[in-house]
Amino acid sequence: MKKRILIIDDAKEIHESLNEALGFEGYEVSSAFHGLDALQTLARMDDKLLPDIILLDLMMPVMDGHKFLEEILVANNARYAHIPIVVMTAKADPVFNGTNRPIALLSKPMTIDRLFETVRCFIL
Amino acid sequence: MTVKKKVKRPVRSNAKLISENEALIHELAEAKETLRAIQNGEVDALVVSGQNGEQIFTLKNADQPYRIFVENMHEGAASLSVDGTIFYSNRCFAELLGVPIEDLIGTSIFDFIKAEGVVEFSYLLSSENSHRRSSTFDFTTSKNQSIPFLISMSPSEIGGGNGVSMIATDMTQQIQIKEYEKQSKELAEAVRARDEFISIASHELKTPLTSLMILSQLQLKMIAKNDPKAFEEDRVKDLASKTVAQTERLNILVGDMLDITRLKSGQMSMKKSNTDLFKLCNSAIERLSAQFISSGCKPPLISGTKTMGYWDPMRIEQVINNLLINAMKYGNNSPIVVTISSTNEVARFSIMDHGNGISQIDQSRIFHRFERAISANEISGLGLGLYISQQIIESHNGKIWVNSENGNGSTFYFELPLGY
Repeated sequence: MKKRILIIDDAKEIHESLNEALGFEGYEVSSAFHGLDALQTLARMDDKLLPDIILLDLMMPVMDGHKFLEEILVANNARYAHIPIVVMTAKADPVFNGTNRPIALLSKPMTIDRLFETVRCFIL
Repeated sequence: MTVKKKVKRPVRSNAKLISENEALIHELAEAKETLRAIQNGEVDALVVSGQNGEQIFTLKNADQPYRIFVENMHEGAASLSVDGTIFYSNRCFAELLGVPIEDLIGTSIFDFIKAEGVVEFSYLLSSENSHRRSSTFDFTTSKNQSIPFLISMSPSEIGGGNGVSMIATDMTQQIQIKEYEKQSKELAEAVRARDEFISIASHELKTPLTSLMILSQLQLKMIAKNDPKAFEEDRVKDLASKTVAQTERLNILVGDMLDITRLKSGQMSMKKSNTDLFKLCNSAIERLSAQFISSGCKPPLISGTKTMGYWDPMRIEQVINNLLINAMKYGNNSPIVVTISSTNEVARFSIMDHGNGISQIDQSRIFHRFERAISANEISGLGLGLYISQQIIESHNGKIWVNSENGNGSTFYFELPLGY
């Protein structure tokens, strides 16, 4: 079965390019445009269809990446605890507080190889 | 008939006159020296010969320390009558004003106060208020230099009449320090704004860069794998159009950054020609219509007629584009209405959205450089659009403004003199 990836980013062009690249690698990709959109998408998903990895942008409208991490890592811990979250950001050195750490960081702009490696590395 | 009376003058020989003169000069020198010695506190007592023999006036009484203190202190001190005549000045005040003490005594303090301070100074002088009164005044010295003085006055009796004692503190240094402090604060703020701008700009540049990088590397990977999909016409076309869109976006971002630099150095020149504002608006809306539809927003309705003026069409279109895109970004997908109207002198553009509106505080900020009403996390863009727009409108001698209420949408206006 195809591994599933949820991409959370407010930029349409990021979705377009990552969907195509990750689709080419054989992943099934779903999209959310901000943190709240992602939480709602996740809540609607069947447990068996939850993503195997989440790629998360930080600067987004409505609910940014930090707030999303807080929500998913603390508030809804049980259901999503197993999903690795990789932050993709253009910020030089993003700061996370102790409990809200992503599993890895991808600095934008990343190469396609670095994207594939990171995803392969953290998908169980 | 008048008879001229001969006046008998005492006859004095030249030699006598010369010797009398010399004696007088000597006396004057002695008197000056005595005065200096008294002022410096070097004299303990004076012996004055009179009809009743010699009288001794001692100066070494309780007043002497005060006299020395006032004479030697590094602040100006003076006694004035209520009309401003200087009765007494210490050495420091006379030096600051650049006038010898003997010339200063008897002149009016108003000879030195700059015009804008005269009313307040006379008010302080004549004030019935018995408390200490103080304020800052600019003085002009005899060398035409300006000195800001902090003047403190307290009422005192002079020769039986009303007067004031005055201390004058030279504030030049303090004011300079304050000025430096203000400047360094402004510089720190400018550096902060620039750093924030660089951080936002690099974030904005990295989004299209990421997309370009991934798409082009993917294409290479597919070619390397000999994937037939890589050569499908539709795919190649799609890739090319996405590449064009991203490079256009990069170009706009870099253009905005350049505009800011040009505006700052005053190099943004306007290429004016006969321009129809209505036509400009229509073509801008037409060009953005795809973008409007893809963002879930209907293209704006426009009302108006041909409106000619002498403006830079490219720059004015830049302003219109900016306002259209803002209405699209912040208008909550509600209908947008553009209106063009004109009088004999000016053309007016307005664009109304039904979005969340802009608070009073934000209305004053949004035209500043790097500002936007919503934080950088919320909406992408450099926050330069309205600033650049304002600069363009102002260099056409026009004005740009916004009417908005929180929750009730916003209407942005600009007005341009027809320029003929």
